[in-house]
Amino acid sequence: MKYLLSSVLILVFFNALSTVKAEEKKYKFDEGTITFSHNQSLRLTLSKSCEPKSGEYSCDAYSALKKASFAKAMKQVSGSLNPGSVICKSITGGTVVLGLSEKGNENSFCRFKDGSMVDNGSLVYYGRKNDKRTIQQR
Amino acid sequence: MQKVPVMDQDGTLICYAYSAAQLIDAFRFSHGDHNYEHLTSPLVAAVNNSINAKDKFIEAGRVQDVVPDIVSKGSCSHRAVGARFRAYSFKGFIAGIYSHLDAIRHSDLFRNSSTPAERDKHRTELVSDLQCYMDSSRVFEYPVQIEKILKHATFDSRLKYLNAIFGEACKNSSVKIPKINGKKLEIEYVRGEDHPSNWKKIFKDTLNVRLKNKYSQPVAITYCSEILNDKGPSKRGPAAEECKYSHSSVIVGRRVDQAGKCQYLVRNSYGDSCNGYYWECEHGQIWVDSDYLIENIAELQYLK
Repeated sequence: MKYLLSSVLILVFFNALSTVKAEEKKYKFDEGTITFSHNQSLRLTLSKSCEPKSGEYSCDAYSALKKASFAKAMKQVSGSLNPGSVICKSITGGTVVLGLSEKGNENSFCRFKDGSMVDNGSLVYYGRKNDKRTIQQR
Repeated sequence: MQKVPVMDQDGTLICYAYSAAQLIDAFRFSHGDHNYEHLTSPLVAAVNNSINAKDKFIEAGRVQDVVPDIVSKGSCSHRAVGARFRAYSFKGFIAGIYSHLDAIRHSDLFRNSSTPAERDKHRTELVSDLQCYMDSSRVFEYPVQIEKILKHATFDSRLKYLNAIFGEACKNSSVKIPKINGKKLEIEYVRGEDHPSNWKKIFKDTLNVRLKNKYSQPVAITYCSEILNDKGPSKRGPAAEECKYSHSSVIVGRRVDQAGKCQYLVRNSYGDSCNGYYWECEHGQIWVDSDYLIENIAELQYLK
C-alpha cells in the first residue's frame, strides 16, 4: 500500500512537471543550434522537441529523469568531475555533449537515442531528488 | 571577468586546470589583451603540466603548478583545439583515443611471445580499428600519423601522444601572457593547514582584499564541492575527513544578500546550468554564504 502510494505520488509529480510553462534557451552544437525548454522553478532544461501539444512530456531525456541517481553515480568516481556527466553516462546510458550558450558559456547535456537532450545539471537535481525519495520509502 | 565565459569540465578530472585557465584569462582581459575569442585551453594546460611533472595522468594537479606553465609556454586556444579535433565535444574524442592506445599497448603487438607474422596481422587490425575510429569521429585532419601513434604507444605515453597532437594544434594558436612592469606573472597560495589557529581570518582577509582591488581578480579555491548541492555540516576543521570531493573553482565576486549575510560568488566549471545547486545561482555561478564557504575551503590560490 505504501509502495503504491509512493508510485502514485511519483506519477503525479512527474505529470505536474509537464504542465508548468517554460522559457526557451538556445545552445550551439556541432550539428547546429538546438532550442531547449527551461523551467527555472522545476530545475529542468529539456529539448524543446520533448514538449507535447498537450499532456506529458514524451522523450527519452524526460524518461531518464526518473532513473537518475546522484548517490549511485558518485559511488563510481573519486574526485570532482561534473556529477551530471557521470549520471548521464553511467546511470541513464546517454552520451555527453557540450553546447555553447548565446553568451558563449559552455554547458554539458545528456543526449539519448531518440536525439532528445537534458541538461546535466537537471540530472543532478532529479538524481538527488530521486535518492531522497528512495530513502524515505525504506 | 564578464569577458571570460563559464566552462564545463564534463567528465574530466582537471578542475584545477579550469581554475588556472580562468585566472589567466581574467588577468589577460583586465591587462590590455582584448582578444576575447581566445580562451586558455584547460586540457592543454593540464597535459603540459603533467608532462613537466613527469606524471602519467592529468587527473590530479594544482593551480599553482599550472599557472607558471601557461605563463612560460603561452596560452593555447581552447576553441582552436576544440575545433581542430571535434568542435566542442573533443573530450569524447580524447577518451576514444585513450582507449585505442590502451588496446594497442595491451595487445600482443609489442610482446616477444608472438611471431613476426602474428604481430603484423594484429598490427594491421589495430591500425584499421584506429583509422576507422578517427574517420567516424569526423577528425578532418589527422594531427599525428598512425605510425607515430604506434610509436607513442610503445612508450606507455598517452600523455606524450596528447602533447604531440596539442603541440601541433597550439603552434599557431597561442598567445603570450602580459607582463607587469617587465616581470612575469606569478601565483601565490595560502593553505589552511599552515595556519591552524587563524585560517578563517586569513582566508577572509585575503579574499576581501583581492575582490575589492581596483583591478579585481578572481581567487581560486580548493574546497569541498558537496556544499554546492546541499547545505550540510561544514567539511573542514574538526570534521575534515568528511570531505568526499575536493574540488577547485574560482571566486569572482561578493555581496550582502537581502538578509544581511555576506556571500561569495563561486564560479564553478560544471557549465552555465543552475539546476543542480542548492544556492541562488546565475549562469553557473553560485552565491554561497561567506562564513559557510570559508569553513569548507582548504586552500586559496591567487595571482600576485
